Amino acid sequence: MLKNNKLYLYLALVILLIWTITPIYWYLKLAFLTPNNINIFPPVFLPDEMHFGAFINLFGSDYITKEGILLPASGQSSQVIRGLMNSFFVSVIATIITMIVIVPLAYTFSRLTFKFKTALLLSILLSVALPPISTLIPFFAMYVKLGLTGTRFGLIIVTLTITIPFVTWMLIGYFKNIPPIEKLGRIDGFGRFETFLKIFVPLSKNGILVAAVISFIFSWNEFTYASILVNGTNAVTFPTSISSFLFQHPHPQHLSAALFLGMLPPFIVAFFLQRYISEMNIVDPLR
Amino acid sequence: MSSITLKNLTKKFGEIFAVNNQNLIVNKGEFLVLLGPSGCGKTTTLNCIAGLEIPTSGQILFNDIDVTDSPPHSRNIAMVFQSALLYPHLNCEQNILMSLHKTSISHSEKNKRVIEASEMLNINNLLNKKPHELSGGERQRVATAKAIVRQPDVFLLDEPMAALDAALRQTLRSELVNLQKKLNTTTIYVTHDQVEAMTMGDRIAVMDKGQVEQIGTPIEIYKNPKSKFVAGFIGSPPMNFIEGQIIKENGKSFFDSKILKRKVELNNILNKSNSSYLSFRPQHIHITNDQDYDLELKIFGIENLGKEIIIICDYGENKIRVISESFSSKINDLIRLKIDRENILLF
Repeated sequence: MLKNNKLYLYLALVILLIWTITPIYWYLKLAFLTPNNINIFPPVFLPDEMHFGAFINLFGSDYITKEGILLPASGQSSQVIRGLMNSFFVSVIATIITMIVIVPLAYTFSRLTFKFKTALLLSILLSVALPPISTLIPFFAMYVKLGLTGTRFGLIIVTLTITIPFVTWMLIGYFKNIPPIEKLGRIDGFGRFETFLKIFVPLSKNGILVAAVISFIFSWNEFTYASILVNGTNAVTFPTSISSFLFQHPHPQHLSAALFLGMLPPFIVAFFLQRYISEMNIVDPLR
Repeated sequence: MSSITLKNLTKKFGEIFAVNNQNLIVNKGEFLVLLGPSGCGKTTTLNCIAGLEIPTSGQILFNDIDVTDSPPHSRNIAMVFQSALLYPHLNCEQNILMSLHKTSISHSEKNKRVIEASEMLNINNLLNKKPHELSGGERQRVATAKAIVRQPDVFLLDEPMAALDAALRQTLRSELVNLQKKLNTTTIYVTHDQVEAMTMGDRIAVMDKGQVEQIGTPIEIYKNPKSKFVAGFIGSPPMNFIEGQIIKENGKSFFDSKILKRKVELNNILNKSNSSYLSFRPQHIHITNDQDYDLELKIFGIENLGKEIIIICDYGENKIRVISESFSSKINDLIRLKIDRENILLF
């Protein structure tokens, strides 16, 4: 019976994997095909050789294949390069600011009691629940007046409105499960702030790290605000620069290479995230 | 070593009195157990003594020095928390050293003390392990080592064994008392377990509704409970109570109740004329077959403990427990019971 159940479990897993991975695979393989191979029928399932021409084109250089065919550089390359740099900049800065804000914030909400706590908590939840599109127009109108459209600074501010409430909400749950070591700290002679900084933060570093990673992924993937506030300017982000491929002469291999690059940082980061999540499970925060 | 005095200690949470005008004196080197049901204010009292809670009013004196407003660390206390709380991210040695982190003790002295404490508690081989790698009993030992390494004047323990299983508790009980006698440190131990209180305490303070109901040696409290609450709380299986009233006939006092087959004559020492409960311990009531009996009850349950059998009889909502050595009836049988006249208490 148990064996049977396991079989079904694996079957379900395999179906789920095929379901999610096939479209991604189908598109990503285009990045490694030569333009000729892209169009043939029946379609090529695996490239005979890894062909990096699309990536070289994407970064603004021409590429000559072994057969002597010239593949010209992508017209989007300047936007893509700028987008990559901006995305990194915005994501890193937004994540750092987010962490500086949310660690004390989540601590306050999870470990201290004060007036109007529930109401304030619900207001955080409300800002998690608000779809970004609903605040887009007010933000845009405000940014035009303040001259913040098309700036990375403006984008960081907007990104924070997404990361802070979401990650705070997540971290509150994690902090609540940590044993009441504050009492222990006070008996050992640590002040409240010292306990927080020297004991609580090191103790919950795994949870904080996961929060940082999630905040990074959210910033990296942020598209709605960026497409309106910075697209087409010097502050363009990577996801918006990819969307500009839509309005050009179709080069599926360039688009596909760009998508591949876009997926890479969250993928790497999620790889480490998964390691820390499993570590969190081993060290039961309740004990 | 300190004596501890609580003067009119009151702690309110909102409108609720957690501790209500409490007075208590703990002598030097004494092992005092604060015993009471959950929510009676025993942990709040302990937290006030530790300095973790600021009392609403009243005073706390250590050796006649007022410490009411001083922070926990300056009181030279050590505390063991519920389920032996430790810093989860530090290993045992670091955990123990944290007790000395804010002291001016030299490094070599710190290490010496850690070794001493870990030898005393037999945890040398655990020093490099993290708390989550330890069993419940080991955590308890490490938490105790963390407490004694400071060489405190006062030891405070807040239900440290609540999460452990019965067999382990039994071992740790005597170990802890032994250690306390060796170090001779004034100790306050909070528990809701009357067995722990009876077996460990030099004195027990039974608390109810934010106040000490009775304080005394375990045997005093067992033999002469001051109130029905104390009587019902101490002793296992618990005290039996029969509701009724006292009546006087021909200059003698009798206790009368619907359930009693005859009036129970009271000797004059016991005579508290406004009492409405006749009470006696389960070992002070016996099964009898002859006509000389006080109660005839149906058996509700039988608990065989090997060396003795506890017979639970019921009438209405009430239960009467009887300890017997040998016994052959079954559940729902009727049995006749006779109460020891010498061991009656009235409330």
